[in-house]
Amino acid sequence: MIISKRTKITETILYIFPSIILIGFVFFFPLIMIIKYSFFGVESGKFIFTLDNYKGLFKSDMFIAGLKNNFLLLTAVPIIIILSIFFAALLYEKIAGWKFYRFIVFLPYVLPITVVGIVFVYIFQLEGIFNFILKKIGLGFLALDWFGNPKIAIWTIMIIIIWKELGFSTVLILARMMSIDQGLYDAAEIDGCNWFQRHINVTIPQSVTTLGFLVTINIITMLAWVFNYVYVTTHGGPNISSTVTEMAIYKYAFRFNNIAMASAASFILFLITIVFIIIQSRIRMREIE
Amino acid sequence: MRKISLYAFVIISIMVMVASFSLTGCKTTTAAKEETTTTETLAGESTVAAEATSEESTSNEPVKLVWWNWGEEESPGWDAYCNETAQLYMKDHPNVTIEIVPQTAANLYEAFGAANAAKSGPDIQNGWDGIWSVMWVWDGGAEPVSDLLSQEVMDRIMMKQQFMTEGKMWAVPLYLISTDFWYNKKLFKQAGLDADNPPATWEEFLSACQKLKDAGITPISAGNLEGSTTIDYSTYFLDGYANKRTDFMKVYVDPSEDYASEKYLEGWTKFRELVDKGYFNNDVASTRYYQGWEKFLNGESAMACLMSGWTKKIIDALGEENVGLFPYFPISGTGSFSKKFPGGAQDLWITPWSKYKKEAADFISFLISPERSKAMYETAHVLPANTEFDPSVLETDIERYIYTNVKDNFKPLYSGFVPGYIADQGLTATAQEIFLPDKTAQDIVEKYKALIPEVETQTPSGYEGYKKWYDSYIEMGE
Repeated sequence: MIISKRTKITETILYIFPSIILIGFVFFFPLIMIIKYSFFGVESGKFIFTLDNYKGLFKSDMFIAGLKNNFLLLTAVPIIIILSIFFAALLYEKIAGWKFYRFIVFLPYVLPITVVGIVFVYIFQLEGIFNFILKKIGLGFLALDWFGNPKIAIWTIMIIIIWKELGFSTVLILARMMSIDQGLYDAAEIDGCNWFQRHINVTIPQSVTTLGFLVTINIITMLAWVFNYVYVTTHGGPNISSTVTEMAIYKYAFRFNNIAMASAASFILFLITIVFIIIQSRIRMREIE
Repeated sequence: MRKISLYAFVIISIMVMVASFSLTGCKTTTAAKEETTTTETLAGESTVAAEATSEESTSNEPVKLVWWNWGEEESPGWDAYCNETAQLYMKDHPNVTIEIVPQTAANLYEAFGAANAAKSGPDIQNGWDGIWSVMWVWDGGAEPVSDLLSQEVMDRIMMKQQFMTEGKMWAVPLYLISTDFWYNKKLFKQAGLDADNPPATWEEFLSACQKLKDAGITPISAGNLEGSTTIDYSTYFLDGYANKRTDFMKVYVDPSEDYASEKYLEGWTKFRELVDKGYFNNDVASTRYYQGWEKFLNGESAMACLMSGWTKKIIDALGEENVGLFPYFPISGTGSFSKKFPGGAQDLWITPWSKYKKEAADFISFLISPERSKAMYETAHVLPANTEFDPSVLETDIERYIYTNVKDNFKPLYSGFVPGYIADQGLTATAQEIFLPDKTAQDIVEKYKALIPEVETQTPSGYEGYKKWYDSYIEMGE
């Protein structure tokens, strides 16, 4: 029996139709609802097109501070990537006990953020263990109020995020490295490359796809997945110095009972995340080509 | 071309389906709103409705009441009291099942916010004093309990005025709370201070703090990492000029009131003075709220502000003979509030989406019965907000002192009567800067002032509700 091309396409579409409907419901339905609510007229409570929610957001210091801090946290992405490559390269050498070190590096990733947050609060308090150690080793001038100082609170949170997220990136890069043809490393060595040059010229070009994935994942994390860190450490303070966009969304939705503005903030965050992912994907595609 | 048409068909189908879902959601929301409105409109007649429901309940149909509360965090022993009470009630009402869902204090309100948005969740919800409970009235998360409780029960409830708006009571006060300022008599004596007569004026207070500091004792301990300490201290520093609650509520509804004026600045200036003189623990900004309390319990500081729920813990930790309590915070304000005891009540309310409002009201009536109120004190060591509670069962002089003061000489807690937006962005966030080294009281006041007009733009429904609440107190003569 000869099946026409048209029938084949129709059949294919019919097969995937239920899944598309399900995905559409799970992903697009909430998004459409968020967009719809973000344009609610807050005074009338009816679906009247208005930009008031968006205008209100950009007048809110809390929301602006949240956006700024999310952008600031993006600087953690290259740090995580560079450190991950470094640790993966070290582990790749299979030094004595490397499996144990790999476990240690990965361990923070599996710890609940709540636990991590609580522990780090105690570590980084003004009278905490970290400052105690600094004072004991003669570096007392570096003992700061890590969470209590609005100028450094967000950086302290960034350190925790890097510590926590590093393991996943390291293990992924290490896995990729283990599948790279050993001959490439041998060739680089014969060509006179030192340890550093071998990884620059072999590991990185050979791991572009993995690195691209990690950059995307980490961008998403820094923009839309840092609420827990902030909530369990500083609650966004002192004042609004360490708040993030998610925190603003949370406060609008659950503290101020203003779903319309929470939706507007969510949609803005969604758009920003999408823009970053598109830019990153374009760059990666060019690199692959 | 045909291929494109087929893809277009699939995409359009998805869009149509998603749009249909969205519209269905919209209709459902509207329907839910209409239902809520109907309930609100009929609120005045709800007693009749409640009676009807009551008749239905006698048919022994299974009833499940879900109660969200804050567990042990607020008052140690609370879980045991709640469980015991639920068991006793279920024994008498075999068709009723009560499911208690303890939550952390930090999560309780957010979880309820989500429940309220979905109009699905607990039948009974625990809440904090004043605005923290009344705010749900404006967002359709509370039922007027005064329509559901009998007159006899209403008569034995204290602190009703904390939860009144638009002529109805929306939450049932369960137990009394106060934001108490404690001192350690042993450390006072150590610094050469009169342990039986704490400072009564601002000048005496500053002098005592200095003597303690000179003796190597941290005068006041607190933890403000989350911003909750400044919420507590607002009731000491920000209403000293007031004689009634509408005096301090006015600035949030009347644009002619200038927050930069002296009466508002004075409290912040005094607060800042304590910080500048180093009378707080130096790590206050990075210390957790309860950690600050623990410092006082451990004898690491001479004074601290702790809620009355911890009274037993304080006495157990320091020994009753070492525990002192200020009759009022000695800020020396000009209003009568400056000499009053800051108090209120923790409460619970019934949700509009509960299928069993009358049963919930019946269970609440049981909770606040004289017998259960006594058990409340004996198990959780909190002071029942019940006129029929016999204070002679109180074990310590300190508890009797708190009970008498909250009952007879109380002022409402400041943070319980400001708009929710101000409580969060003003008293919690902005006020955190009071502990920062490079800030002045003037800086805080300017930032705080800028927040006041935002209440309307950032939380429109909350602002409208708050104005009505303010008007209700004016009508009640406050």
